[in-house]
Amino acid sequence: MTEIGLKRRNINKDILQAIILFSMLIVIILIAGILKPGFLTSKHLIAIAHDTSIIGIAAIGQTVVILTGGIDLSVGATMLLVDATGAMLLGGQNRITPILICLGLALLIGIINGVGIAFLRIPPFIMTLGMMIILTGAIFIFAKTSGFASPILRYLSVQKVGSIPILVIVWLFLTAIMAVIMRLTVFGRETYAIGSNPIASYHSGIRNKIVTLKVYIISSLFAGIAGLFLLGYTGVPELTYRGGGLGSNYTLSSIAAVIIGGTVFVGARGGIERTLFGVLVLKVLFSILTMMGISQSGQLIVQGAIVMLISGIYIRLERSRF
Amino acid sequence: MKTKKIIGEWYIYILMIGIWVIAGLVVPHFRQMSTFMTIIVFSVPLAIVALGQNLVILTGRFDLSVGAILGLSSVIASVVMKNNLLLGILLPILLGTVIGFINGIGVSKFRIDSFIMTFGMMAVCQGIGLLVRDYPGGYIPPGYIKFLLKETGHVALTPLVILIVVLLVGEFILKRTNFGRGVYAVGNNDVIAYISGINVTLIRTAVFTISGLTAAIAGLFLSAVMASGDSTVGSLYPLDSITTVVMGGTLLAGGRGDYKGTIGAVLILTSLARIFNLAGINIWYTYVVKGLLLLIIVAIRMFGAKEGREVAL
Repeated sequence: MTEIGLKRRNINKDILQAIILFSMLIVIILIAGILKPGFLTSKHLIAIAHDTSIIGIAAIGQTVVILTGGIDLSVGATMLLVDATGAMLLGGQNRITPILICLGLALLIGIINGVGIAFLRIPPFIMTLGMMIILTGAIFIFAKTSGFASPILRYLSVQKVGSIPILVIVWLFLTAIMAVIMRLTVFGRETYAIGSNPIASYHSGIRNKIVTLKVYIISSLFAGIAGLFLLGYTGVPELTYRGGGLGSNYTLSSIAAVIIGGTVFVGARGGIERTLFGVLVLKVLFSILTMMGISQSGQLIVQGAIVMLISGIYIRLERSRF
Repeated sequence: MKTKKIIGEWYIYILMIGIWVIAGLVVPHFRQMSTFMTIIVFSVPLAIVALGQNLVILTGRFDLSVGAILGLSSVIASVVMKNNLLLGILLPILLGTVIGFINGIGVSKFRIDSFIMTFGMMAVCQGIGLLVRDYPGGYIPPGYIKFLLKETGHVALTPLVILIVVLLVGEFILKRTNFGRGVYAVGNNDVIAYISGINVTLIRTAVFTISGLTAAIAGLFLSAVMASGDSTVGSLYPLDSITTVVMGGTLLAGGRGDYKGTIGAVLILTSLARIFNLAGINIWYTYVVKGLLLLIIVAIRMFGAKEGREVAL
């Protein structure tokens, strides 16, 4: 098959997937609107978007990592570490140093992850799993459950411009920036190249190790930013240990959002803009279930079934085009 | 050359003995028989879960749903055992096997990524578990508990026997059966395995089915230890079992490793928690040590691996 044919086939598939995802979102929202008349008000939809933005920001970094065929299990732990450290250092004051320290911490985690994966050749799953376990221990040893967000952080996370929350604007802005970077810059192309075939990319002169390092740094930084906004959103640090590793609920929903969005582990197909819809589908679904008074157990069952169903549909789509 | 090979195969036990000797010198309470028995009792459920996980990882996949299956099994046991002990044992086992089978079909027939498939299944099983019992409780017959945790003198006999039996069964399956050879073959290269006549779909389905089964059995054991059913009890098991399997020398990409190393890693993890507890050290340090151990072991192994893999990240 010629290269152009190959490209066209991929584009068709991409569009089909995007249409499925988008119509799914619309259908879900419409069904919710019929079931509960209060759902379709703009106020409520904006509230959902507001609630989505923190995990949405974390999912941006996760998408970049998954595009290279890797995975970052330390996203949730990084978020909560930044969350707790920020609260501890800020203590309700407007200061810039603690913010920088928090982002520095996230940067450091990203560098360690990246070096371990790229240079020590530890598999991404293991490296970030180990990092998550270490951070879980570290946070409960060093962090105190005291402290507050600074007023500015709180303002940015809670206030609205007109009727749209600032946080949602930040999320959309970051998504747009990263989408452009991934599509139009050399770094973006290199990331896709590594994801689709690391050996080929190596032989065509891409420095796999440097790109991989950068990818994990980006993921950690986005997790750090999400952690700061989480602190601003709730005002106080979230230090509840739910079992299964620190922040694993955030990590898993970020991965689920990427997958529902149609970015796949193998083959570097998908993108940042897809994850935007993935995370929305996930959250809209949850808010509908909450609104319909379905208990936590029912929500878990539906979420699990949806994740399996959607990836099953995508795989079908993929194979029918072979 | 030969010593190097022996160290490569048994390093986890050398590490374990090292940790035990140091702990024995530093922490006086560690030298008691009862401590050793506590470690054995708490190793059993993780070792059983890790057997299934080990098989799955050897084929190059992993199973995140083991913890949820374990919790589900324990709550169902806590509900059913009140009326019928035998049904209370058989029903969770049957359910775990069926769930594992569905995982296997999803991964092998429908080619869903194992992370997604078992992550989805984890959520579903957690949900069902919470529906059955949303807080710990229920009734586990004392006779059943006594049988599983039987002590003669200071020796918890049944757990020790279970641990040894599980170890032997695991090693036997992997090293002495056609199925075990098939698992290695699929993990090494599923295309070549397929071409050479191995039923890849069957083996993939089977390893996930076994993983569901072992998780359910571990749930039954754990419900005896807790004397109740708790749907959230398994939340640490997915990552802990993967950690032990990898620490024990099994390649995450599949195809290489064994089960005795996994058992060594299970003993190390449970020992660490016990040692830190006895020494009065903040329990969260076990997490730091556990994570560091995992990373250091894998880094050393990758360092020793052939340089040919360097290109493929």
